Amino acid sequence: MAMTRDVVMRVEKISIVRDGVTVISDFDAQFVRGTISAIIGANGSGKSSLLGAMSGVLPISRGVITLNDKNLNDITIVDQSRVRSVVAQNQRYTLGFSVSEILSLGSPSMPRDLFEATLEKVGSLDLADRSVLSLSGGERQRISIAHALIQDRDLILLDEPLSAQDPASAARLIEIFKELRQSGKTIIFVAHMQESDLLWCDQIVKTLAQ
Amino acid sequence: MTGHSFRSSLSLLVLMLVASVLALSLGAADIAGTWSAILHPFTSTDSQAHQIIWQIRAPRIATALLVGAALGVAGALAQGSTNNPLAEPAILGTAAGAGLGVLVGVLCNLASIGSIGAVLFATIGALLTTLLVFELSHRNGTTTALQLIIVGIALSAVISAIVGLTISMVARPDARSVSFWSLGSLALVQSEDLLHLAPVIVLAIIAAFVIAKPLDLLSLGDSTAQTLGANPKRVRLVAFLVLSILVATSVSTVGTIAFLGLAAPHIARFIAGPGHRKLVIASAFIGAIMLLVADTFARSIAPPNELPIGLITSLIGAPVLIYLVRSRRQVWL
Repeated sequence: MAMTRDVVMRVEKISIVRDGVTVISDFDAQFVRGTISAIIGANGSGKSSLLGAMSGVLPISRGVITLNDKNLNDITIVDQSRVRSVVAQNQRYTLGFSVSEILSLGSPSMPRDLFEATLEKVGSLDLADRSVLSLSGGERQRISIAHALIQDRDLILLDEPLSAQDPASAARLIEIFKELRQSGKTIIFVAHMQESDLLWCDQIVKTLAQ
Repeated sequence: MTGHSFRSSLSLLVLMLVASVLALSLGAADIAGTWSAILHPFTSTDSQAHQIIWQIRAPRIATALLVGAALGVAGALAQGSTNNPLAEPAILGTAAGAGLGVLVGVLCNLASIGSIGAVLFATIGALLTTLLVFELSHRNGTTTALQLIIVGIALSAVISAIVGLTISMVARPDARSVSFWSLGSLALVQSEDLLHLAPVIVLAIIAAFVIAKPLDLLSLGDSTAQTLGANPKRVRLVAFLVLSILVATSVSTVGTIAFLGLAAPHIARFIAGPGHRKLVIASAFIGAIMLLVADTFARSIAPPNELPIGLITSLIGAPVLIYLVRSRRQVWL
């Protein structure tokens, strides 16, 4: 029973069908509290779809996903958002909010000190007052990660968070993930990397092309 | 509200009041004692100047302000809820659907033109058409800006054709009066219209203000909005409902007014920024001022002729929009 309690998210025999094509079939995985897991696989093997289903935004056609032992389908959107945060692969912005304004969406009462400390952590303090429309791909990715950090959830799901980062920024983000693990957070991220580059993770989950 | 946005709102309010007073003084009739009647609204109430200014012009000005505010906010809701800078009531099919709704109500003898029943049918037609446009433009779980625009224009054309053909075929004069809606005008507005116009529009604008924060989240895309705790479908449905009420109320009173729903929110965004709370307020002010100025021009430039107001809103709004888009590029996209 102790092991069951430590599993934050469980994926049981799930299948995901997109546009009539099965992208994930009979897939099983479990993610233990306070660990870092990487999801890897070939292009088109359904990594992002799997993360989408685990984020609650993509429906599954079979199987069950549980979050803290409850069926994800039975947890309201608001309650899901109180437990986990999600970083999209390529967050697009359509309106000219400043970076600080974007970070306050979803957590409006957060003090500015916290925004600045988080931006500094991801190496983007200089972006605080910039319009999000002017950011590069790598900067957008770091701002999305800062947005997830500010929400301070137990579970953080990230879709290819290191893909647009230079080596120094990637190393900084990996250190942040390790710190989060240290404080009991659970990190699950999709990676387009070799297994040998992911030795700092606790678990590697592989998706297979269908 | 921050100091900057308070000052912006105050400036827009002052501008609106100044424009209203000027509009009271301008008109086709060349009347003596205009300013005296404006400055003393409660004395000499039986003078000709007083009657023209306070019984003819004032209700028309109030209607222009209310309908302009409604269309400005409707545009902000259309753009915010679809995350699309080109969305506006005419493009989303909302205005055409309102016309079809009223026609159905009138032909089924369930509503008469100018009644609250007509507004109700207009709202239902507007909402169903807007939802249909959004659903038809949805492919593979997403809607691109282009898909939405093409489907919206196409469906609006189909509905307008159905309305036009039906009006041509039936021999009822009340159904024919629906066709006047395609030529927006404030000339036929009665002061009694304000009794149902004002509360409905004010309540709908308050509702738009309430859903402003979730609309900010929708700008991040449906998936991200959902992971942050918003329900995109529900937020969009509420926005479409409020949008439909605003458009139906406006259209069933003064007809279709071109360009205002598109231009007002874009102009407002330069003043208030992208956040929807400030944007709703600024769009209401900008829409109100634009329609008032357009209507004042329409009735006073070439008296006794009234110029088509939709052409004037386009003539005023479009150059301002082009200037703003060229002078500062980071508005949207």
